[in-house]
Amino acid sequence: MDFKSLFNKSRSMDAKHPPTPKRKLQRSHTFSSGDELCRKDVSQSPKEMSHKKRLSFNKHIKSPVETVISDEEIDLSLLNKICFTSGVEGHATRSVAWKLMLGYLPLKKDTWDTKLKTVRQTYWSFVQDLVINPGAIQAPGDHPLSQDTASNWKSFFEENKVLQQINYDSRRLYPDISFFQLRTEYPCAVEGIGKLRERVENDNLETLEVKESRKGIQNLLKQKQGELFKSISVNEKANEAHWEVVERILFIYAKINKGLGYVQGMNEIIGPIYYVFGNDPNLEWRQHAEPDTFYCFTNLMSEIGDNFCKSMDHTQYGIQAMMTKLMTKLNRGDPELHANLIEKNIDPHYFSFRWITLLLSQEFFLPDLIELWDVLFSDEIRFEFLYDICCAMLIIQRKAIIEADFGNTIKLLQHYPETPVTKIAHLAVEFRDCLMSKRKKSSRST
Amino acid sequence: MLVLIIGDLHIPYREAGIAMKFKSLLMPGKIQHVLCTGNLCSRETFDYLKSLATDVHVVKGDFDDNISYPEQKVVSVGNFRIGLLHGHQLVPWGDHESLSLVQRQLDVDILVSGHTHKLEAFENEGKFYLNPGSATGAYSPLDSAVIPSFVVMDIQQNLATAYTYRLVNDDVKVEKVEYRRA
Repeated sequence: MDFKSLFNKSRSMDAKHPPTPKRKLQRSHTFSSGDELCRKDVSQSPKEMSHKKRLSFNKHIKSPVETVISDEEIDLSLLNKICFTSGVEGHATRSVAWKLMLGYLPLKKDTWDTKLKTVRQTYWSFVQDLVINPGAIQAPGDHPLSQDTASNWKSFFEENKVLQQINYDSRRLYPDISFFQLRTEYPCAVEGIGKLRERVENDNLETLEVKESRKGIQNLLKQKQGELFKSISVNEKANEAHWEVVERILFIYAKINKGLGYVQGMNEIIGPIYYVFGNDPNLEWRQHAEPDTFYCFTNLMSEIGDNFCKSMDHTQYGIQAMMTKLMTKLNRGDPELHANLIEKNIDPHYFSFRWITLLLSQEFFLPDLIELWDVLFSDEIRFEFLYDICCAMLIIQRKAIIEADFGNTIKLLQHYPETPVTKIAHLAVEFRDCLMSKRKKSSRST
Repeated sequence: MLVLIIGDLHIPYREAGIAMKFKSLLMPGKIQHVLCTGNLCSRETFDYLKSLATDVHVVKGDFDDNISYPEQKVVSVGNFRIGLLHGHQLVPWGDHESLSLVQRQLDVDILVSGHTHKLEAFENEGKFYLNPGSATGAYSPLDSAVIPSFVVMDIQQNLATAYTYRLVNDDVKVEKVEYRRA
């Protein structure tokens, strides 16, 4: 029975009998038992799932994900399964679900408070310790132009080079969404480290000149000057935009992970995570969005960091191997399309490099992307499904690719046309199942 | 925030250029603002300062022929108001009383002046006075043995730390003077 007929039925019933408290109770009871059902039997058909999803606009009903999350001890594999099939609804649920799926929150709920408290404090002490403020350190003999290797000032300037890049990249993070340019409610909790952006940005100083007017009166006159990027006035200390928070997280990450450091593209990975955590309607979570994002990002990078590492590019864990994997998968699922790409001399590098390293974050609009990431994060063998999605994206554009020449194919794949995420995800699931059944058949025959 | 305070270079009339020891210290990318007390004397000198930082403020010295430089200037750096003038206008040159008169006129926390070719950094009645001396060690009418010097100022919220650099016998000597704004 679909939603519409259910709705009509309930309306006709309401018309016959005015609603009584008893009946309301009954109804809510049946719904909660429905939830029970869905928790126990996850392997139900997607149709039923979407039916549940449509019902959940009603606030009295918890969505399946919420039900799992509200357990005292969370069943991660169940959570993964539900997210994978039906996605996550609502920012609050998603924010917690991602933290669980990215291994930040422990599965036992009673340990959350203590863990979060210590971990968040650790983050702020990282900020305190790792952001050097050489002017505040009383080191005898040290001076700003020192060329001594032990000089605080020297390392300060070395760091500024990394910071410069981070600053550029975080400033232009998701320019089509206002969120990152807006003021954050929770600026840096550590006093005295100053703003990171001020270390690398050169604003022109405000100046006054002593000038004489035609009447011979001398006065200080303000000079006009072009003010770039003045979204937030510089002198207000408490004002900090969301992108500056992202900048700080990336900087701390780069300082802790010296081996990898900061690589362009990390900003695209952290952006959606911070967006989800920073928009959490639940204040308890939202005010700690910064440390939470830092740890979730670190955990995520420990999984996909190899893709960013230049020295690993040609090893079996590097990006080169991942692209080959994508092409083999495509070859197994759709040999014709694969052959077409090979024939046209289209290196997977041209399009899938960005798709895989950035987890498709450049191909979709943020709201779509977040839905897609629900699925990616809830993948049981994490990011195996990403390749299925990439293949699905290729297959959706199959006709256009086969018809187009080299230039147009590249153009098409580098600016992937707007496509509903659900369509891609559904096709990707089908693609995966198809490959699996093929493999089973071939193993049976041998 | 680092501010370079430099002046009285007199290139090319009195000196050929800044000493190599100083040039190797002053690398681009460190300093964010330059305040120059004037007497650059040539376009090339200004270009050199511009290569150290994009934001360069110059006041007119008695040997500058660029008429677009103002006589006096007030610059806001963080919480500090800094007054800038060359100093040949004051009588007597470099006199502390005359300097504090200008400080009151401009209502500044830090007054930067030059012209005497003598490095000075001192606090007087709660205000801070800086004279970067001559970066090339050019002679002045009153003194022929001038020690080349300049100042780098680090500005934190309410604390300005002036690092004075002097080239004594081909050796760079650094000293530190702190000024806290009341």
